[in-house]
Amino acid sequence: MGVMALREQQLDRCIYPRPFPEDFAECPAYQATTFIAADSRNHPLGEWRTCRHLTAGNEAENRGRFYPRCALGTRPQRLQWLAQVSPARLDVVRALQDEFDGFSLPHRKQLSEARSRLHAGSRSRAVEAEIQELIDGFLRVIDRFLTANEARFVDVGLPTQPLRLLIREWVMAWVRTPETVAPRVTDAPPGAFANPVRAFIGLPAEPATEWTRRLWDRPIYSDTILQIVPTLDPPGIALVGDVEASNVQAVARALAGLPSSTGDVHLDLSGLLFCDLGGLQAIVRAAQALDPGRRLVLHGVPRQLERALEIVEWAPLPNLSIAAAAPGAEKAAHLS
Amino acid sequence: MTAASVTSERGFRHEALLYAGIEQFVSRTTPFIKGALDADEPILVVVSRQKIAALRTAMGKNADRVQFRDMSEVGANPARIIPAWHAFVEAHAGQGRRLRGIGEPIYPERTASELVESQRHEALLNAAFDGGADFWLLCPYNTQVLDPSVLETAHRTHPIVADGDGTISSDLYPGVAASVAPYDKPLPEPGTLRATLVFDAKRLPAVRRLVSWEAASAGFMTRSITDLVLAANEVATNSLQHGGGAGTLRVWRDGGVLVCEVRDRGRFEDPLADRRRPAPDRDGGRGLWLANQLCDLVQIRSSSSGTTVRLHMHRDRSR
Repeated sequence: MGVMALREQQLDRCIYPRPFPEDFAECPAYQATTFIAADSRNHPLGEWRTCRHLTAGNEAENRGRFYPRCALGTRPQRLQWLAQVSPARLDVVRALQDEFDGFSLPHRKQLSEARSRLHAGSRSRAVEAEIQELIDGFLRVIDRFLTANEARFVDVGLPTQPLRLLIREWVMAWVRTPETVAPRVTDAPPGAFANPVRAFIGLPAEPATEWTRRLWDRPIYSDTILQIVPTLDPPGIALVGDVEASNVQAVARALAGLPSSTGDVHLDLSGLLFCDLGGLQAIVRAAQALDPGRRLVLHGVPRQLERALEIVEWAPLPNLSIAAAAPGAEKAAHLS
Repeated sequence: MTAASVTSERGFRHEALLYAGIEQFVSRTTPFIKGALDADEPILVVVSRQKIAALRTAMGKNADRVQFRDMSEVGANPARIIPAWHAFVEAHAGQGRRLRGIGEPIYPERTASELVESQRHEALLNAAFDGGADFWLLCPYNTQVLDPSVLETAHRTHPIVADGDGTISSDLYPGVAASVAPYDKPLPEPGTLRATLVFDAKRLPAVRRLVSWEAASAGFMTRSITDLVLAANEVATNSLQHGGGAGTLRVWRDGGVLVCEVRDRGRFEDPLADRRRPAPDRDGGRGLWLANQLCDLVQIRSSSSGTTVRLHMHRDRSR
C-alpha cells in the first residue's frame, strides 16, 4: 500500500499539535526528546520538546515543501510498531530517557555554550581543552548511569556496551558539527540493536512488518483503541490495538464470523498491544466452537497474552494452536 | 476440652503449634509426621527450605514418604497457599484416609503488609476447609522470634493451640465466620502517593497507561510491568462490571514496592473468591485469581462502604 497511499493523503503525517505539551500522551507511540535549539550563530535558544519519530516529509505534489512526517508510518503501522516494541518496553525506555534528561541537562547546557563559542570562531587551544574536559565529564556521568541501570537497558534490548560507543560518537559529532540539527550517527557496531528498538536511539528504524496481508480498507470493527481487519494469506482476522471490556463483544462477534469453510482459521495477534482475560476467553471459546479437526491458529502471540494463558490454564484445547513463527515461516514448514 | 477429645474430631482440624527455635521445631513436628506415616496418611509439609533440610535429616529414609514444598515459593503471596492445600486435598479425595499438613506462613521476614495477609490467610483457612475432608493442619509459630501480638493472633485464628505440654482449645478463637471479621477494616496508607485517577469505562486505557508508566518510572523490568498492568486492568474491570461502573486508582511507591489500589462502591460477599481455582468452562470470575498469581501481594477489603483491592509488586523480584 505504501507509496500510492502516501502520495495521495500523507497517511504518515503527524496529526498532533506541536510543540508537544509537557504532559502530551494522546499518541501512544509518542516519545519525547528534548534538544537545545540554537540560532543561526549557534547561540542556544532554550530547550525544545519534540518526538523522536518526527521527521520532515517531502510533499509529493509540491517538491520542496515539507510536512510533519511520522517515521513509523501510517496509523496502523504505528500500532504495529508499538506492539512489536511492547508498551511496557516503551515505558521503560521513556523512564530511562526522563532520568537521562534530568541528570544530563546541566552538562548539555555547558557543552552547548562552549560549542557555540567554538563555532563562533574562538577556536583557541583553551576552548578546545575546555570542551574536551566537558565531554569527558559528560561521558563519565553517562557511563555511571548506564552501569547503574544495566539490567533495565538489557531488558529493553539495548545492550549497554554498543550503546556507550554510540553515545560517545554522537556527543563528539554533535560538538564538532556547526549545524543545529542533530547529527546522524552510524550504526556502530552493526546489528547491535534489533529493529524495534533502533528508533529509541536515533537510528533509522523500519516501520514494523505486518505478519499477514491485512485488508485495511475493509475493517470489520474499529474504535479508538482497536481495529479488527480481515487477513488474506493466511485467511483470518487481525486484532490491532487493545482488547478490553469495552470492545470484547466486538472481538467475539468477529471471531464468530470467521470463514466457516473447512480448514484452519488464523488469528494474527502480532499487532496486539493489550488483551484482557475477557478477550482471551473470547479467543478460547471461538476455538472450542470449531468443528473437530479444525484449528484456530494464533500468530504473533504477545508475551502478555502467553502469560495470561499460562495462568488461567484453559488447556486442554485441541482446537487452539499457537504458531511459533510468522505465518510465512509456518507455511514453509508445512510445504517441506 | 482435653487433648484426647479434640484428636477424635473428624473434618478439618486447624491447629497452631508453638515452638522456640529450630530444634524444638523438629522435635515437635516429627511425631506428627511419623504419626501420619504410621497410619499411612498422606502428608504435605510447606515450610522454609532450611526447615525442610532439618526435617529430612531428622527423618532419615522416612522423609522420602513426605511431600515437601518451599513456603517462600508457595506462599510468598499468602493468598496462593489455600489453593495449594486445596490441590493436596483434592488429589487424595475419596481415599477414606485422613490427610495431614504442616504449613508455616508466618515468619519474621514477612513485611507488615505480608504479615497481615498471612494472618488473614490463617483465618480464612477455617472457612476454606470447614465441613470438608478429614484434614489435620498444623501451623508452627516460632515464639523465639515472633512478636507476642502475633502469637496472640494465632490464638484468634486457630481453634486449637498446642505447645510442648499438650493441646488445648483456644479461648480466643471466635468461630469460623467471626475469625475473618478483623480484616474488614480500612488499610493504612502505604508509602508515598504518586498518582490518583478516577476512572469509568472510557478511561480503562488510562488506568493501564498510568500503572505501566508508574512501574517503569519506579525502575521495574518489562515482565513485572506487563504482569502488574494485566492484574490492575482486571481489578479495574471488576469495578466497572460489579462495583458501580466506576472506580478510583491510586498508586504509591514504598521503597522498591509499587502499590496500586482500585477502590469502588461494590461489595464483596465471598472472602474466599480470590483463592478458588476457576473451572475452565466457567466464564469470567478470573480477575482476582489472576491478580494473586501475578502480584507479590494482594489485599482485599470489603465493607458496606465499598471494596478496596491493593496490588503490591516488588521491583527486585526473582520470579
